[in-house]
Amino acid sequence: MEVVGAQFESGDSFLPEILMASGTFSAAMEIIKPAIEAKNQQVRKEGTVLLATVKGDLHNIGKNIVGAGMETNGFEVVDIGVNQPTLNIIEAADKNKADIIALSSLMTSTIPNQKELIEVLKEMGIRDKYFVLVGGGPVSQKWADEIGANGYGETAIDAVNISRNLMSGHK
Amino acid sequence: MLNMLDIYERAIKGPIMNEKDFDMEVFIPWLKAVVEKYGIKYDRENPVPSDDRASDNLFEAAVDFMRQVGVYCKDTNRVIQFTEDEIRQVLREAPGKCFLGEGKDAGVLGMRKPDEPKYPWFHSGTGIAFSSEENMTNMLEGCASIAEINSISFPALENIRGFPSGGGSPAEFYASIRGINIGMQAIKRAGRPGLPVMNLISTAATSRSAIAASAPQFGCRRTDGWLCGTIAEFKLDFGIMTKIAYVHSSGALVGVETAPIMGGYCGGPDGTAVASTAYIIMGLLVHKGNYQLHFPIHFKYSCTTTRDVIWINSVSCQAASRNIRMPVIWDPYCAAGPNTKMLMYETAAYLLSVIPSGAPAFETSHPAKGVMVDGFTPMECKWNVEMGKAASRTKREEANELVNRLLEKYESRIDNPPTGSKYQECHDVITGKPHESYVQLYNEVKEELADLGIPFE
Repeated sequence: MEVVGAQFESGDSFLPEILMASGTFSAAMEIIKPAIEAKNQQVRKEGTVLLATVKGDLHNIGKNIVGAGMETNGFEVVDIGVNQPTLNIIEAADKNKADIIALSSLMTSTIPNQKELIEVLKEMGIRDKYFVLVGGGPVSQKWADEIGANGYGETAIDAVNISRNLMSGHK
Repeated sequence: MLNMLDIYERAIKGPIMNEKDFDMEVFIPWLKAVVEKYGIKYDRENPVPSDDRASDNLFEAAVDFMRQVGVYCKDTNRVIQFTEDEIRQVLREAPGKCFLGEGKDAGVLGMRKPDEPKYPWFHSGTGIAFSSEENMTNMLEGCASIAEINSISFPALENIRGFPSGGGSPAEFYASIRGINIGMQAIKRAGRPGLPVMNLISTAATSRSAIAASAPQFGCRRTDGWLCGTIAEFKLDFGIMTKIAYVHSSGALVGVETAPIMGGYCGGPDGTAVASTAYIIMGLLVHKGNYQLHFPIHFKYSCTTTRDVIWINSVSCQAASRNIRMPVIWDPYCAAGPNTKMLMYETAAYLLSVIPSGAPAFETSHPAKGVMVDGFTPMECKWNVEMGKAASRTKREEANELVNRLLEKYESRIDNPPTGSKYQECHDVITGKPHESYVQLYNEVKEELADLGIPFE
């Protein structure tokens, strides 16, 4: 996966290769994981990520790239899809005991919904329960800072690295 | 010819499969198979090739791909499929032109062939988000005042009374109406009241708001064009299908909006070139489009001006202009922002890649990837018109050399481009005139590119 990831970053591989490698990796883990657990050892998990594209936005490719990158770097990824209302995302994060909520948005008209999620977490008194990462075409570090997100990833690898840093601080 | 109810019938009766299986078991394998069968190969050294046989081969690959794959309906989880005869019939029957606009501003958007010296249709692309009504009006008036401009896009209004205008909300509906109103006033102020508007309704991100705000009393005209999109890659939903049905039934023009993503499900440049060409067939086959706004785009840099995407644009434009009678407006997204040399280089490279390749029309470039609020000015519009005319006097072989020289000037900065200036930072917001520093930069780059061999008037 590291080889395919590096090729993806350098522009020598693309999403189909990443998804195929990711599918192969997951299939292999289904066989390997029970064998590891049988020896009373555990597969190291970096954390659980709840991944979604915000309400009003149907774009999924960037989100899927981030999901594949996270999954193959040791995160458990729960991808609830596109056009997700804020409360759906929060409920799914709670149900899946997520550490990180990662939000994608590709349109200037939908990025306010990233801000909305952070505000609703505050209203519910659970802002500190999750790290919130934001990404997508019109999103920037400036925007992430303005809305109080914990991180902004321009690429899938950024998202993985930021998540690792956040989780290591968390632990 | 299939109508929207025929398409709907296939959407409820076609083969059922989940979306992931369509992507992984149908779309990706068939695209790879077609690329291999037809020997489609990215040529890094020649971003603007001149091989007519290769163009026709790419077209045949796209027909084959469309026949094998079809279009996925997200609401029914079924695949809308077509026979080769149906595809060929639609291609034969396509009119290859459409009538737009009113009165003295009306015009016919028709076809061009590769290396044809005829001017393309000049579409002023200003369909990005603006924060203030005053800036939006001044910017539109400035663009509409450029005599060569044949049609215009209206920007999206970012908010109304401070409420964000998205999500199918009442704010989106009110902002949509307000956006139409401002736009219509601006083109009247420029003395171009009949100028066709090609991106209705820009503020309405959802089909619901678009249809609601399309009632004639809100200002839209049947001689304008409504953009009806697709979902990447080769997908539709009922919202889009209903919007298409509505626009056709109301007698207005359907503009198909398509953007295959290089590096996404299409894979690399070879597969994206096939998908790009197939999307233009889809525009006729599924949307019954009157024109198409098309922009293959890079998955990582969100622009159309990288070397590989420039090649995709050129080859799929050649395949389409030789074989598919759909008036396509080729639409550049540039990495750099307004008031930068890099934006002017990127624009020049893009226009030299599509206009000599037979582009019937082009949209003026979207600076800063089209995502910077207030990030468009009439100066970019002027530059696109000057470059568009020069590109129409350039043959593919010459364009290939020029594009390579232009890529040398900006390629290394594509991952870290200058964001440039917003409208209010490089224009006088009262008079609408550009700051002197922007005029100087403009003239400097024009002189530099004239020395490079670009044949300006």
